[in-house]
Amino acid sequence: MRAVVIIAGIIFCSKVSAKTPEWTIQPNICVAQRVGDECLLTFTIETQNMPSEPLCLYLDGELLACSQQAYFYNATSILIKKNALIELKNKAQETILSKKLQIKYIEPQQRRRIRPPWSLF
Amino acid sequence: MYTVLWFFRLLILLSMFVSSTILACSEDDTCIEESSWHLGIAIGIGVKTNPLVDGEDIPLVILPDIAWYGEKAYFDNGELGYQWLSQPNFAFETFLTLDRESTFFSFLHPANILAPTQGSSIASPGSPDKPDFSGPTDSDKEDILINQRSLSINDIATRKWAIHGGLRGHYFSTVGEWQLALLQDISDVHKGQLVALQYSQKWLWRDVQMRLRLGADWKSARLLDYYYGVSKRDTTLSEYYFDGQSGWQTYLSFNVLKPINENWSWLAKMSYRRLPNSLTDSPLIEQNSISSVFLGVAYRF
Repeated sequence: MRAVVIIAGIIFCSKVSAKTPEWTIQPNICVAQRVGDECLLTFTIETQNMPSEPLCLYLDGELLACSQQAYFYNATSILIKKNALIELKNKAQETILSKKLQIKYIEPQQRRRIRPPWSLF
Repeated sequence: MYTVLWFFRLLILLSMFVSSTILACSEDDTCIEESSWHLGIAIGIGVKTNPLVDGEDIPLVILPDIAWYGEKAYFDNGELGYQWLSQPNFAFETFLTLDRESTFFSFLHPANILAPTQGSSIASPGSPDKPDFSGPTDSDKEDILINQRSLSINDIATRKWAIHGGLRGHYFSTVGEWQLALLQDISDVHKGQLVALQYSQKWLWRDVQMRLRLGADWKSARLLDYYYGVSKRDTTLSEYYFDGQSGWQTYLSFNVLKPINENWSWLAKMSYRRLPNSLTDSPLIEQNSISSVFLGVAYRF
């Protein structure tokens, strides 16, 4: 009986894990010169365990591309000015997966000082 | 009131006709990298006048500059705040700051610690029941209020430091910056309010950075009465009693910074602030303005 439970557990777990969609987006960080600059990010998507239906890729809510089971063979290029959210949605607009694409800057961000310098007294 | 109207007209005219050579943020001393410190010290010679009877002028020998800015939070020369909005044309923050009104009453002002003077006012504890009948002693001082009854700050009750909580909005035009701030005493010292309007303008001439500020502060009766009013807390002689009324303070300041090398700069500062007309009859006041000037070298770490 114990052996039956263990075997059933292994089979059940393997089936669950097989149904969990996963993806890898590389790279997911874009480097711009300074704040406000546009940044070109070219990334590839590798997927696993995708449901067998057409899935579409959205960048901050805007449609980028669609594919059966999210097979995106070619590299995707986007232009971003700030951090962006990329999402994979099914036909019912349910989000299957999402990932934040970050933008970093070579020149550090500057802030305006609020009080005048040398104004302690 | 006429002075205030004239001042606002000057502000508006200046903001309309100044040249468009305003500095971008990345080019001068008024910008700071996010998540970094601005630490500097200036050494030179200067003075800030004290308008109070027997108030010692504050020598300006060492001027520190201490600022830290994170993504939203900041500390800048005694002001701790959080900037909720920072856009190219608008900014808005909330902040806490010390009420600088007590500067002239207190020995424990950083300026006095960094450069103590001979015969500082704290050195001669007086009796609140024995006001100074001698009157103003320096006949050369401008705007001195002749024949007015005067009361030395050595002979009155202590004025405490207050902490202000405030809101401030900025509008950045193509030529300058407008600020409007509302402050409230949150330390329950005087329970007063302050409204501050300021226009500032920056120029870059070769490598010389210049900044002009014009402003007007409205101070509530509670605030002014706490510092400049006289009552039985100060003396039993009722002829000295004075109720501070709300009023406008106008001011002008001009700063010049000329870099010598990467760390050292020449620094010149001057300012003039006129006290509200409602205070000119206070027995604590012998000048109706505050002037300051400083010339020295500044080192930026």
